[in-house]
Amino acid sequence: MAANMLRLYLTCIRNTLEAAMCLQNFPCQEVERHNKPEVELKTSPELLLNSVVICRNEAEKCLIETSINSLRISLKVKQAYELENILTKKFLRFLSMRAEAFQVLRRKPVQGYDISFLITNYHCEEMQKQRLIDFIVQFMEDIDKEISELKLSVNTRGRLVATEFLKQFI
Amino acid sequence: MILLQSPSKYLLQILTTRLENLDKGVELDSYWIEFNDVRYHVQASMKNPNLLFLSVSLPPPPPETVSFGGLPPGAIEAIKAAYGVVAQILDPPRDGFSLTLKLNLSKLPPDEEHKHGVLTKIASVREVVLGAPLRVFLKQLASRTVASDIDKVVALVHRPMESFFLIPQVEKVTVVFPMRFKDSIDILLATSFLKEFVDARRTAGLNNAPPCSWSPSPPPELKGAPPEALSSNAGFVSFVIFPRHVEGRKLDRTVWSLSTFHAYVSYHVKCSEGFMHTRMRRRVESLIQALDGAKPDYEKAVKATQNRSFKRLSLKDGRSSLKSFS
Repeated sequence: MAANMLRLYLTCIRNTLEAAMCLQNFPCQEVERHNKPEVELKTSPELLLNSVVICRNEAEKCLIETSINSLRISLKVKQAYELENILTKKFLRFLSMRAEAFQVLRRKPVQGYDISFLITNYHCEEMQKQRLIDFIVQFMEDIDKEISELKLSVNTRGRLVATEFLKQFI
Repeated sequence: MILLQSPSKYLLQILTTRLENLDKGVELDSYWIEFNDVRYHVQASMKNPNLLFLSVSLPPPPPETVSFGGLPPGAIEAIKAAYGVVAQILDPPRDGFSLTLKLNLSKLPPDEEHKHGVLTKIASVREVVLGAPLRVFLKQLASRTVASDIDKVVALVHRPMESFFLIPQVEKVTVVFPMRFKDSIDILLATSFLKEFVDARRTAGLNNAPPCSWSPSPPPELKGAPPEALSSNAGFVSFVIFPRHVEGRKLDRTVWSLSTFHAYVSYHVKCSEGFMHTRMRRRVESLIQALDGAKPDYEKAVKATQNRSFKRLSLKDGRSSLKSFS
């Protein structure tokens, strides 16, 4: 059931991205010879499309904002309790610090979200659109997987630490 | 290595190497620190290859603990009992240290097994000295004698300016650790590990292990203790030690496990964080590879390296071409 919900959520995001990822080069209207990602500036409303929020549940959602030459995807990941919260923050901060290596990752997440991507027309010229969408969806699945595996490793190690310590007394 | 070992590997290696190379004696002057709270110093000279000076600095005790002249109560008797004539306590100890022992390697027992046993005991100097007061209480428990401090809260030092508490009774001794960590992530990981102790004892058939409990606030047994000593950010862990846990050979192991409990938890918290970092790095690499797969040039580059072929030239080819000329 949970896997099915995840599939539906990811399929919805994938379809939205396929529609939204139609980017073209657009020199800045306001400053000569500048070329900026319009979705970051948000100064000219005619260049921006309606943003879409896809919610998996109250805690998890995905915001997709599009403009003529750039696309911004922001994710909010589930954080149920303290340990999960800190593992998620640690992992996502680890990824964001390496944003340069990822190229399409934003160094700081958008306000209210945990991690953000910024895709520009230049990225679309370098990389195949389908593969790029595959990457984003795989990224989201990987975040989920990694955090649950980190949680599991902490619990397993905790159990082992306790058992070995107590065994000494027998 | 899951459990912390009592004899310090480094110290044991220094001692055995020294013993094996007595005639080739070299100058030795080494400082090191264990578990972030106890400092050691070993010094030996070529003039007297049989003599070794071992200095130990113990963590400074907080005000609520009892100590006699820098050493924990019962330490001097424990040293004499463990080492006999091999070690001599130097008074005053070396500058900056709480205890200096003059070890005379010529006074070791002649047969190999006993010799190694004494060297191992010397390497466990931390357990002997720092664990001495705990040992006194647990020995009284084992022999079921009535202690003078019965039903009172006793504070013993185990880390710099931090103590843990004992409530000795005739039939059992309750040991309570207020757990403190500096880093916020350490606190969370440690709390989740400590909570596991209660669950671990219930499962896995550990019924004979000491009953343990964890609570975020000081347990009722600690009513008589001073409030400054009762601050903690990772809760309080209590163990109830019964005579069966301290009879015979188990006494030494129990003393070691309890006196290094905080170091044990801290060690595993750090290992856990290191493991998480390794996992995250691996995940980043796999994601970057997936991203590279999105670039069409990547595939072309991969195919190009696979299709390159070279014709191997050998000397025979060279000679045959020469022959054709001559």
